[in-house]
Amino acid sequence: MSKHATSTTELKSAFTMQPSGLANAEETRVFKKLKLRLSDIRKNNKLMGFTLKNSTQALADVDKPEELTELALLSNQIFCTSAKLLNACNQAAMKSAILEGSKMRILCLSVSGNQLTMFMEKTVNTDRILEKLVEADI
Amino acid sequence: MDTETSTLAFRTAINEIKHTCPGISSIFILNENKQVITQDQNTTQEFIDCTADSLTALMNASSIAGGIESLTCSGTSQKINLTRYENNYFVTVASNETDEKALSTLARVMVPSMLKLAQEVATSRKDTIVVTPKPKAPTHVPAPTRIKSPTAEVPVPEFVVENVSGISIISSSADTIYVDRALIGQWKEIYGDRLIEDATVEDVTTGKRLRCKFQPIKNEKLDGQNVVLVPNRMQKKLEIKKGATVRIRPVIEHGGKNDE
Repeated sequence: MSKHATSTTELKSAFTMQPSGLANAEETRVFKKLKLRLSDIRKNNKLMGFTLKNSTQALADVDKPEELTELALLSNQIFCTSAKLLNACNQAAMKSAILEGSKMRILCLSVSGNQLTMFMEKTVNTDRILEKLVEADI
Repeated sequence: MDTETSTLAFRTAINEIKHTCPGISSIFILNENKQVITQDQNTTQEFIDCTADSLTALMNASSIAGGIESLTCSGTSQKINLTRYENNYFVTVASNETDEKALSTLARVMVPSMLKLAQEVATSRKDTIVVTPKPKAPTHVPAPTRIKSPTAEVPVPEFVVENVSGISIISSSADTIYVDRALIGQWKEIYGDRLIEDATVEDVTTGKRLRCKFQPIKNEKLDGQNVVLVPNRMQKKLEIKKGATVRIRPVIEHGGKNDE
C-alpha cells in the first residue's frame, strides 16, 4: 500500500458499533463531508493517518496499516476517557480532545455523531487543521 | 526530597496558578501511583478517583503514541487538562474562556520550578543539618560557631496582604500577623528545633520591613490561599494596603542574637 493511498476499511474488530442499525441523516451527511475534506487535509498536512466513525460506518487511512488496530483502540479510549471526565464535571458532551505522546499528537473531534481522530506529527499545527475542517462548512 | 517539602512546593504552585488564572474551577496533582499529592478546596475525591481510573485505562492504550505527555478534553463550557511532569500528573478543570496557552505556560513553568526549589531547599537543609550542633538540653545555647544561615538559600515566599477580619480582629494584637499553616510547617521543616517566635514582613516594592508576632490563619477559607492577614496598624507603618505583595521571613534566634 502506498504511503498516502486512502484505504477504506471496515473496522468491525476495532470499533464498537452502536446497536441501533441506522444512522440519522445528519450523521451520514456530515460523515460524507468529513470524508471528502479529510483526504485533502491528509495530503497537505503531514497527517500520519485518521479514523472516522459513526454508528453505522467507519473509515480509516493510516501510514502503517499494521498499527491500525492499536490506533483505533487508542482513539476509542480517548473518546471514552474524555466523556467520562467531562461527565464528572457536568459537561453534557465532548467537543474535542488532544492527546500528546512523545511520538505523536492525536486530535479527536466529535461532530454531529461522528467521531473523528487524526494522528499527526507533533510539529503539525492543529489550529490550521481545525480551520480547514471549518472551511468544509460542516 | 521528603514528601512534605514536595507537597508544599506543589501546593504553592497550584495556589499561584489559581490566582493567576481565575477561570480554574479545580486543580490537583496525582503521583505515579495515581494518588493525590495536593488538591484545591473545590476538587472532590470522586473526581480525583474518576481521573485516576481514566488515566490508568488511557495509559495502557497510549503506548503506541509514546505514552501521555498531556491530554486536553473540551466540553461545552469547560475543559480538562492533564499534563505529566516527571512522574506526576497535573490536572486542571477550567472554563473554555480561560487562556489555554497562559495556563499551559504557567503550569509548565511553575510546577517544575517549585519542585526544583523544594529540592534545593531539601538539599540545603541536609547540608545545614550536617554542620549544626544539636542542642543537648532545651536550655542549651547553640555553639558560637556561626552556621550557614539557611535563609540565604531558602526562597522567601511572597504573600498578598489581606485585612484582619472576623473573630481575629477581636482576639488579635496589633502586632500579630496571620500566616498559612503550611508556611509555619515549612519553617519547622527547615529550621527544626530552632526557636521562631517572630517574623518580619517586608514590602516587596519599598523593601520596608517590620518585625512582628505571627499565628496560623484561623479562617479555613483563607488558609492555603497565599494570603497574609496584616493588622491595619502594621499596614500603616509599612505604608501598604490590602492587595500589596509582601515577603514573610522567620526571625531565627541565635544565642541571643537575631538572624532574620
